[in-house]
Amino acid sequence: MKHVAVNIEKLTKRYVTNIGTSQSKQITVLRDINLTIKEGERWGIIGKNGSGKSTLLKVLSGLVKPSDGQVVIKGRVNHILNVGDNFLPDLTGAQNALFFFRLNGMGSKQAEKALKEAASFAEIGDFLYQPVKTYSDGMYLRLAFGACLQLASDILIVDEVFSVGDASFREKFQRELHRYISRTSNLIVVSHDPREIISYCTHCLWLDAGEQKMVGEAQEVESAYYQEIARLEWSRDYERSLDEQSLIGNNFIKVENNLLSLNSVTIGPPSGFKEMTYESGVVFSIEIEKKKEQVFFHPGVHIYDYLMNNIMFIQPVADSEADQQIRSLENVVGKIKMEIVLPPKILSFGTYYMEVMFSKNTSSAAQYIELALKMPAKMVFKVSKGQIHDFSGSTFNVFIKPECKFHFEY
Amino acid sequence: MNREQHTVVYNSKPPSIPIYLKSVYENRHFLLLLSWQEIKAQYAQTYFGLLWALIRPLLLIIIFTLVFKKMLHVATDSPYYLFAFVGMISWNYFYGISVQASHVMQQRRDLFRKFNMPKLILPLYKSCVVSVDMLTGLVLVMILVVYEGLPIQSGLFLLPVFLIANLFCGLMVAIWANCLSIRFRDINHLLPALIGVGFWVTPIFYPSTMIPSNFSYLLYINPMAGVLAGLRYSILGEPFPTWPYFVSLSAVAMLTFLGVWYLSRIESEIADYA
Repeated sequence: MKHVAVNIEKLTKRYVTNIGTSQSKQITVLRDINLTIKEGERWGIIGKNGSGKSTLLKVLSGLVKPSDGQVVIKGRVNHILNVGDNFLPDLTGAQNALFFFRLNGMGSKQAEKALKEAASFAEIGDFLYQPVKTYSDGMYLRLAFGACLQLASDILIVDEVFSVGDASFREKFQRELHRYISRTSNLIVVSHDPREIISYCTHCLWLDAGEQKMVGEAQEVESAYYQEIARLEWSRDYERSLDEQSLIGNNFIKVENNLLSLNSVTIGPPSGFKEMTYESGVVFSIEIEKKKEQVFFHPGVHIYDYLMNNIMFIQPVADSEADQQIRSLENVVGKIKMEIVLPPKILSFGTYYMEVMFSKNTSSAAQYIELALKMPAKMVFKVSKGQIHDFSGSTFNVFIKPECKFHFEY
Repeated sequence: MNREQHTVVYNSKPPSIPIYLKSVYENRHFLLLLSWQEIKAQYAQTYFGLLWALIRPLLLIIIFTLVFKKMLHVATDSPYYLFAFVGMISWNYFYGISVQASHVMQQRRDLFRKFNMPKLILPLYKSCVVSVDMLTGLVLVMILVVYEGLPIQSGLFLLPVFLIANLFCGLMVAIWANCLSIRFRDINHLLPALIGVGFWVTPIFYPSTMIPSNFSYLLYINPMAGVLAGLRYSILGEPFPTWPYFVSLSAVAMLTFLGVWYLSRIESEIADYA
């Protein structure tokens, strides 16, 4: 049986705003959090801004005390919070970094060694011996993060560091962080971005307004989180509140007008597969009812990532066989079933948003597209990890992973 | 590595005083490192560097010698310029601690945004920084005592006691100011003004005998008057402070410990609101 690394019991944190003034009032940032983290587990914490994620990390790091309940931590903690805050501007980078190591309990020899490592990570050259007030923001961050990564620990606590610095630093930092994580037993990381959570974490805690909304395996929580985002976002689009059931599985938001009605949309794996994975591909089954003649409808499927970026659009290619078939249905009235097959080994694992829309063409010569239905049908679907093997873990922002042909000559 | 060894428990219960003091002791490396870092940072990029810690008291005593030895004369038992200089460094010590450490928890909140340490460390390390000036000043005084041919007092062995009393006067003000200024920021402005008044009612440049005897309670409620009398007794051989002085000094000791107790209870609030 695995040992418990962190145990959080009935943790509540309250703050008083405007303390010392007549407008002071108490707010509860965390309410009744219960969580057990075992050795070896990697936990992500997701939630909207102000949901208490960062406060929870501060409590776990001992920087902020609970108002109620208790937290037991077994193991050395290294937290990458408020990085570089305690650097004094008039001292040099080397002095500040050494001081940071000493404050964290290193001996002077050990600190010298750590300084070398941190400096080589930061790549600031001779600036190491200049006062840090002369540093650019980038240099400052590189040195501060580099210093943080030199401390040994059993539990690493990280807050949203993935969005820090410029692109090249981010990549380097991620690589270094991965190396650090692979040596560390436990990871607790906060992120806005559910994709980071599933690529780094085994488990996930979802906080909503200071309360724990869901606790479980990273992929499960991530998927539920997507649905919630979609529900809120789309409720606004459709100007009515949607429940969770209308977004996943065989349910969808029904749309209809005098031209056609969208009867059903089903997203699933091709026959022979139990679930949608990278290796199974995805089948979109759509049933419409065509109400008029002399019109035909081109289906289109948009696929969006977690930030609602459109990453893929599927439609019949002009003059292809599919296009010909659609045109041949011009004078049919009644139910039409169609299946759109997204081939395997293209869409990587993750949760996606999907929209089905129809364009209306009244003559085969028409070039421009007009939407047949005002609103598209929207759904959430999940492609599981399946048997996928990755060479590197840092591919979390990759959605399209086509299997390509490679030729070698030697 | 056995992870059980590093078990910590965080809850809302404030620590008991022995446990709190133990955690201060366990974190004593912060004290030395922070003081040293601050001293280094103070003199970083200056031409004289750390020598400034010596130059400042030296300049002070040169001025005192010129003004009070050559020009002004006040009837005191010991040479007046030494009398005034002891008064000055002692007052500066108190002033330095109480004013510089009174807002240290707001000034260095970066430290507890990064490290989980008992907050008492902060006023303590500020006191260490200020102590450097005091100690160099004392060394200069002793040199001058020998130079003036004054006898080394038998009361010298009590010097550490009065130095600690001096330290406690400053610490008491600093600890309470830090605790109370979470809720009442006005303290940051009120305190320097109050201490400014204290400068004039404390016998720094004048002997306590100049205060009329029906106002002598002014001396007895002022703990710094007791500290000055004690320091002048053990260095310059002035009369031993009379017993009423020790009432306010004991009050200072009690209020300091009370401040530590109060601080240990509201530590978590300081982290939240400082």
